[in-house]
Amino acid sequence: MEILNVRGLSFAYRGAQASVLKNISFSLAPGSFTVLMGDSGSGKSTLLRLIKKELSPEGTKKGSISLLGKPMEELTARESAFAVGFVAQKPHEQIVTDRVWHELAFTGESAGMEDILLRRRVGEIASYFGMGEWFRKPTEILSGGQMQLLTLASVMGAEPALLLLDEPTSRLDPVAEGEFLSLLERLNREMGVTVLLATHDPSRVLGMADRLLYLEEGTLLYDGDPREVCAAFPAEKLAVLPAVSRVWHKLGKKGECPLTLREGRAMLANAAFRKPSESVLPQGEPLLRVESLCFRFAKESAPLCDRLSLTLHPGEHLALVGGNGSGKTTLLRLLGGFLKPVAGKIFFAGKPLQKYGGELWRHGMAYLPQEPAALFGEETVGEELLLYCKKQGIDQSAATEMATALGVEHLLDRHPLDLSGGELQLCALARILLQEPKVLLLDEPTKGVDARAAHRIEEALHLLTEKGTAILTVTHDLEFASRTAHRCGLLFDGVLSEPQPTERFFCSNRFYTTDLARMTSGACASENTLYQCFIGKETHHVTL
Amino acid sequence: MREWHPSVSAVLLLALLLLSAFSADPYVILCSLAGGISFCAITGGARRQLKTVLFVVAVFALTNPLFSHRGELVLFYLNHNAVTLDALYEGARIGGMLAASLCWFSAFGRVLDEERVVYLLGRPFPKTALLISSALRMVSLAGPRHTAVKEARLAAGLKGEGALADLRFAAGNLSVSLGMTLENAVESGNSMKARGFGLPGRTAYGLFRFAPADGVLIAAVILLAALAAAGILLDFAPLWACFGILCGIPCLLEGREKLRWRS
Repeated sequence: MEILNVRGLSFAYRGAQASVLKNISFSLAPGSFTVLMGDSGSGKSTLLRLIKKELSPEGTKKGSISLLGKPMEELTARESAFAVGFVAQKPHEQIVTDRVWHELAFTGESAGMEDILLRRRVGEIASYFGMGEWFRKPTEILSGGQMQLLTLASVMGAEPALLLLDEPTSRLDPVAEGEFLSLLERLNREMGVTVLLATHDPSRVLGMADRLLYLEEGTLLYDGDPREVCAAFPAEKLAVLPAVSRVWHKLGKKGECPLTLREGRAMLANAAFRKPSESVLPQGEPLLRVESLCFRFAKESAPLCDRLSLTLHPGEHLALVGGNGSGKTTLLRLLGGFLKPVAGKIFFAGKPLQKYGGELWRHGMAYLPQEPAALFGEETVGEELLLYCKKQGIDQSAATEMATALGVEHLLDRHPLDLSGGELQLCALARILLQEPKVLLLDEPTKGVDARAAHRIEEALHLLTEKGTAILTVTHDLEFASRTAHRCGLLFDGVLSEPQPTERFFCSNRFYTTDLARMTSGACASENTLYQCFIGKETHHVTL
Repeated sequence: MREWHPSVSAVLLLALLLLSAFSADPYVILCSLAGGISFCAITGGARRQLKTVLFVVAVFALTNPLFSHRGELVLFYLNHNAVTLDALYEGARIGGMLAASLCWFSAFGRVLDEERVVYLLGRPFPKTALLISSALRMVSLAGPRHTAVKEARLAAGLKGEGALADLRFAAGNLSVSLGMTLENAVESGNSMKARGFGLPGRTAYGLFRFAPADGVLIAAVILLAALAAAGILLDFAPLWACFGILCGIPCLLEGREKLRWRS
């Protein structure tokens, strides 16, 4: 018997003409691990939410969904609530209570578990998930990764047969992502939970999956074994594949298509690479200079900046990478003049930062916040852009031109909170670029963004640096940094390792580096260099 | 008193506070003060507590004669008003009452931490407790979010010049962070619904478990408090001993734990 059976499912949101899902049919066997891929707006979330009765959006639905052999309409509220677990994208929004233990017990409480059983179940799960340490802690001190684990653990309290996960790791750093996914794999392998996971970054998860569904504009385009589907991908859509499989496509599809890093390493085991040429770094009078900056929030607390120094030249893109809690956002807040350093100096365009008296933006410093929604107070994106133009006496056509340049002109009439993560990032970028910045500070610009939108952001940043804008990005998206930055530095425990040219940085890193650098044992860090430097010696024929 | 259920501490505190607050008898006040200060000594911070006690007693003792001039024994005259020994004594007594209550409060404040208080308040009303819990969660998110919004909008050049513009800027910040909070609340609501919130027969997980020994202790405390109250009301001195015992219980419980954990 199938856990889930979807037949001829079509769906249109109330008030909308176009269908978001078109004639979708598939079924899931018990204990299977299925990855659902597709760009933002392809209907992934809608599909998952239709399967979870409590979250079903309003609109016209055609076709049928049955769970555990019963049509969805016949399920009792109790069955649909507890047989299907749901984990969404944003960690902090799913945590409801202020204590870890309370959150962990939430599902069991809803299910009306007796005191003794509830106590044992909570104890079991806390042990299984390794949460003993933070069981009594307040939820506000948890990192994003810990929050997602907590949500998953809480959902498991009612022993769901099917787990639906909607981009659960897209806001986590690579280390937290790995931790989350390996626990998910354990739940699948050891407890037999059926998993349906939607993602637009499948590089870590395809190796665990036994099935891959690919949605494009509401249609189920591919459905099958992950390896076969990845191998069958047409050349123009390769961007959505994991780097490992993409390299296999580009290097002539020899042997079987690799899905994991291990297979990728095997594929390139005998390959030879010429040494990548050193890129020319932008020079010139630094726009931003930081000298032994020190910062901590209280006298006794750990330093978030410890004698940190850096320079940023015109036309240069410097990326600082590091995990959660490494002090990335704090550094940007210091550079933006929002926090006062404990010691050290910051010079912007040759003058000390405090000389600008809170008017940094007037002198060409712009800041893209971690939550770009913070920039939008008007009803539509267009109004927000026009508001700034009016205020500064810029010609109103500038707003439309900027939107067109970033490819968001079709979004100008939309409400900011209705946009997808990638769309919102691009609109926010359009808004702050109206300030014509000399220095651009970016906080996680690719967080929760799909491959296509990330590509657009990369292009926009590239154009900016060519025109002489200096960009400082803090991010945990290593692939993004490897493709766009001139130099990279590692931020850890408030200490910044001397930034190095990107290629050299990632090639010499061993643990915190890109998939490409791992696959090539540090010969090339990004795909472009790989294709340029690949000498064409035999790639290994992988027999799997 | 970590070894006991939080309700033991709560009942003890309530009994001691009520009895100390409603009796102005010097014996009751002295007992209460002695018990309270020794309890503070065991939980740590006796010196500070002693200072507070002396200060409160002194303030009341010295200010009461300014307002009350009753009494036989006139010590001296201040601005043609009699300062009497009785008024001084009366003031010290009121100060003692207050100081004793303060002592118990501060000592129990250390025993009943936030977790225990929330548990006690939430036990009879689990729905309210959940509401409080999620409200606390929302509040803890709101502050940093507001700061982030303010900084983002400041950097985006949305703040004009002048008082009116400042006001408009602040209003804008509030509206944006409120919008984000509402958006967040929708998702949080979804997360609750998805985990079966609202189905009938919800139970509540509590961090603490009630053991028979807790019940025995609570019963004993209530009995002692009732006897002491009767003694105070009927002015029957032998029963006051009960109050003395009651004042000693916290020290006894805490002292036993202290002995067990001494290094």
